[in-house]
This record gives sequence, C-alpha cells and structure tokens, in this order.
Amino acid sequence: MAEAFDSARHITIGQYMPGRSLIHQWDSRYKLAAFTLYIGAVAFCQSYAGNIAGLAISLFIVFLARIPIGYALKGLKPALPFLLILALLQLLFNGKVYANGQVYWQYGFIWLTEGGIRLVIVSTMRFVEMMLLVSVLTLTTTTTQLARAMHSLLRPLEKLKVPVHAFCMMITIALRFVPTFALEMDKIRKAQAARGASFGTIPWWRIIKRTQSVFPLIIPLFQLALQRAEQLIAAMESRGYRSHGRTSFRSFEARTADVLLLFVAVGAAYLLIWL
Amino acid sequence: MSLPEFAVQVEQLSYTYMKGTPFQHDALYDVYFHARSGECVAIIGHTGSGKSTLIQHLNGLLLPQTGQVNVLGYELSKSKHLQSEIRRQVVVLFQQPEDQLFEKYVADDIAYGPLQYGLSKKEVIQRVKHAMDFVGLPFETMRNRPIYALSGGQKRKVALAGLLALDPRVLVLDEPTAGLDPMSRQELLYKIKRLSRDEGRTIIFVTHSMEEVALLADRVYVLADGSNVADGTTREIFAKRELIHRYRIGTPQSVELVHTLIANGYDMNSSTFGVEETVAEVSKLLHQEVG
Repeated sequence: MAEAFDSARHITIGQYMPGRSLIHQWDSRYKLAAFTLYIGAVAFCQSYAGNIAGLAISLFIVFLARIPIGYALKGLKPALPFLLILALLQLLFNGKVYANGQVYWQYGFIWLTEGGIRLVIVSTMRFVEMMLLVSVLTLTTTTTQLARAMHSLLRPLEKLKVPVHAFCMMITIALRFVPTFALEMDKIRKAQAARGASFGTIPWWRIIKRTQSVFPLIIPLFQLALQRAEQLIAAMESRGYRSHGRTSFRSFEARTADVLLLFVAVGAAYLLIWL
Repeated sequence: MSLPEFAVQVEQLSYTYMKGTPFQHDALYDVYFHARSGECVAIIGHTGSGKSTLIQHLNGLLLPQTGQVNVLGYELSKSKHLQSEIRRQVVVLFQQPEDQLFEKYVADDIAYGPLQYGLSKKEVIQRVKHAMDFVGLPFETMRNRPIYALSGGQKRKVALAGLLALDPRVLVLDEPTAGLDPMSRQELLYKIKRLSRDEGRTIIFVTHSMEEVALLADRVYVLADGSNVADGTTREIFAKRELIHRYRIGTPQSVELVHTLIANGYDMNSSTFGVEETVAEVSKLLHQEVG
C-alpha cells in the first residue's frame, strides 16, 4: 500500500541523473539530433535482426551513460499493462492487414498470421528500445539543456515565422513539472486517504462510481496546476521575461568528439534500416 | 472502549525513500516515538529531519520498512481492514490542507470522510454540524458557501472540520498554523488546545514555532537528520540551553528572556517557559530588586 504513494519512484522519464559519463558530456545539440535520428530509425525498423541490433545498441547506450540497467528498465513497469493489451489487440485483429506469410489460424475476423506475429514482436521491442532511449536522453540531459538544444536545432524555422522559442519554452515547462506533479499527486492522495478515501477499490465495471472516486484527486490537482501556472507567469514577468531577443549564459561549443558521436549515431541508424 | 496507555508507540523505525533507485535517501534512522493517550506531543526539527515521514507512519500511509509502529494497540501491517480502522481513529492534517478540498460547497467537503466510512446520512449531518460549529464555521450560514470564495484561514478550518467529522481519537497535525495570519493562527491554536484539554484527544503536532510548543505541548521530541536527538517534557527541553543552541531550535521569547536574565547573574528557575509563569518570575525578581 505504501508503494502506492510513491509515484515519483516509477517515473524515469523527466528525471535527471547527474553524472560525468560520455553521454552526459555530449553536446546536447548533437545528442538530441543523434537520438532523434536513431529513434526515427528504430521506428522504421521492421525486421527481427534490426530490432535485436537496436535493442543491443540501446542497452549499450544505457551502459555508456552509467545508468543502472535495473533502474532504466523500471521505467517500463507502469507501461506494461498497455503494452500487453496493445500486443493482444494487434495479435488478434491486425493479422489480416499484415497477412503476408503463413496463416496459422483463422476464426471469423480473427486472423493469426506470420505478419501479425512479427508485428507484435517487433512493435513490443521497438517500444522497449524507445523507452530506454528516451529515458537515457532525459536522465543524462537537464531540461534546460534539452530545450536549448531544441531551440538551436529548430532555429531555421524562425525564418518561416514559426514561434520556435515559445514552443521550446512550453516543452521545457511541461517536462520540468512532471516530477513536481507526481509529488503533488502523492501528497493529495495521502491527504484524501487520511480522511477515508480508498482509491482503486471500486470494481471497474461500475464506471461512474469509479470515475467519481478519483474526483478528490483530480480536482485539487487541476486547481494546483492552475495556481502554479499563475505563479509561474507572475514570476517570469516580474523577472522581465520576454520571448524575443534573449541570449544565454552558456554558449555551445562543439568538440570533435561530439561530431564523431553524431556520425556513429547516423551509422547505427543506417544499420538498423539496412538490416 | 478502554483506552490503551499509549496511543502511539514507535520503536526503531527506519525508512528509506525511493528505495532501490539511484535517488534513494534515508529519511528515518532508528527513530522512537511515544504518545500517551490524551497527551499533546510536539515534534520539532529542521526541514529534512524526518518529521513528515514519521507522522505518515502514524496512520499507516507509510508502513515501517524496519521497526514497529503500534497505534492504539494495533500493530501496523499490510492488512487493509486494519489500515482502514486505524485511519478512522488517527487522522492527519497535512501541510497546506486547503489544497485537498475538492467539493464545491463547504458541508459537502466536510461530509466526504464520514460518507466514505459508510455512516448514515443522519449521523453524517450531525457530525458535520458539530465539526463546523467547533472550528467556528456556523453550520446554518456556512454550509452552502462555495469553497473557492473562502479565505485561506477559513479553508483551513474546513479541512480541519473534515477530519474532526471522523471523530478521531488521535489527531496528527503537520505545521497546522504555517502560512496563517496571526488572528487565524491564535484561533486555530486555541481550538487545538480545546481538542486536547477538554475533549481528551491525543494530539501530535509538528511545528517550527516554539511559542506553539510552549503553549500546547506536554512533551517534545527533537529530530535531526532522521534521528532522535532529544526528548522530554516541554519544561526539560527548554531548560537545556546547550541543546537549544546546538540544534538551533529557537526559543520562545519568554524562554529567551529567562535565559538572558540567568546569564546576567539573576537567580531564576531555568525551567520556566510559559508566558504567565515568566511574568510571575520576572515580577518576583522586580519586587526583590525594589525591596
């Protein structure tokens, strides 16, 4: 039961883990570009061989970043139920769409095909790889670094009047507050439990009752989010925040190693697609 | 039901947050804590000393990782039924409790707890009325007020009433007066004193204000870095100058005055701490001087 109040513990995305590994010290612009490219390659990779290589590379990156592997994998735990349900749905109802190869079993609109099974295995592996990669990226990069990297990569779009700065600011703020909201939710959950709430005891088929039972959690959380937003606006404006003409305290300085690592990532991405 | 001698007994309690992740840190180490039935006990200590973690064990929100927590004669365990029973008897008022209000109207929010425990409608209304009157929100005029229109002090009263409506035997309060204006603060302290002295409920409160300790507490526990560093009656704690300095506890103005006078060579009882007591001592001193 006590574990139920420890949401922050299960969220690996959005946390930063200080360190001095190769991945930590990688210039965040190059790191972001490389990760984006590589994650893109993972998303397109359809073959078993490619995904096995992808998984191996992802695990190697986790190792390079000196993140305890158990901790990185723990981030998958909350996603597990969705993953299973998704896999089941794909297995049962997508077989016909991906009906290349052998048909193993067929009943009405349920087709169990080779293509369908491949899809399930490949998409599950892909999901694991992506979770690991995104976790590594956020665990080794502070949100400020990430936002500035994004800003710098998207800068060309400013010529097209795309509000790049505002967009990056939004993302920074959203990422920054994930752990904060997790903590806040724990706090509210405890406060309501202290006056008799018991979450998750109503069976799922009593949908309305079950929805109502989370009101004591959701409503205060929204209230706090709005309050926080107002405070943030006041704090930013009182410190003279403007979205135009901002300079930054640190400037990027890419070393050869940063560029080399990017090439390695391009190579890895190519490998995955080629396999 | 007969009262057990100890409302709360905590022995050798240790707790580590985010256990098994790279972010883990120890919040409590080998902590003990006792509160007799009907006693008013203060827990003091700096931010990060483990106070909040300790009190979350008292109603089973956290379960002991090592050590024992015995509440009202029950040993805390994973049993859901037991937890529900303990939470009904031991309520916790968290910091900024106004954040937890979620209903639109005052009385509805106060009724939430009792309704969760399945009391009859009649009983619930009676309890809400009693709780509201006690905290100083007249039932007839305030029950249909929208909560968002209330002041901070009033919201805190609603939160307290929501807990009192459960008719708990033990009240745990985490910095109950933080962020209140002086008027609301006085009023709330007076209410807590009544709960303790007149109604005989066990009160355990966390505070940074030594004035509050002097006013309310029978006994005091001092925590630092997740461990016990001192405990005793309020009188004993305030008499230990060295302890106060070492942990920079901060003293009520009355104690400060007594200690300063002693340091300047006046003959006074070093364990004086209450405002009235101090006044009596000082005026006695003044009479001696004049005489």
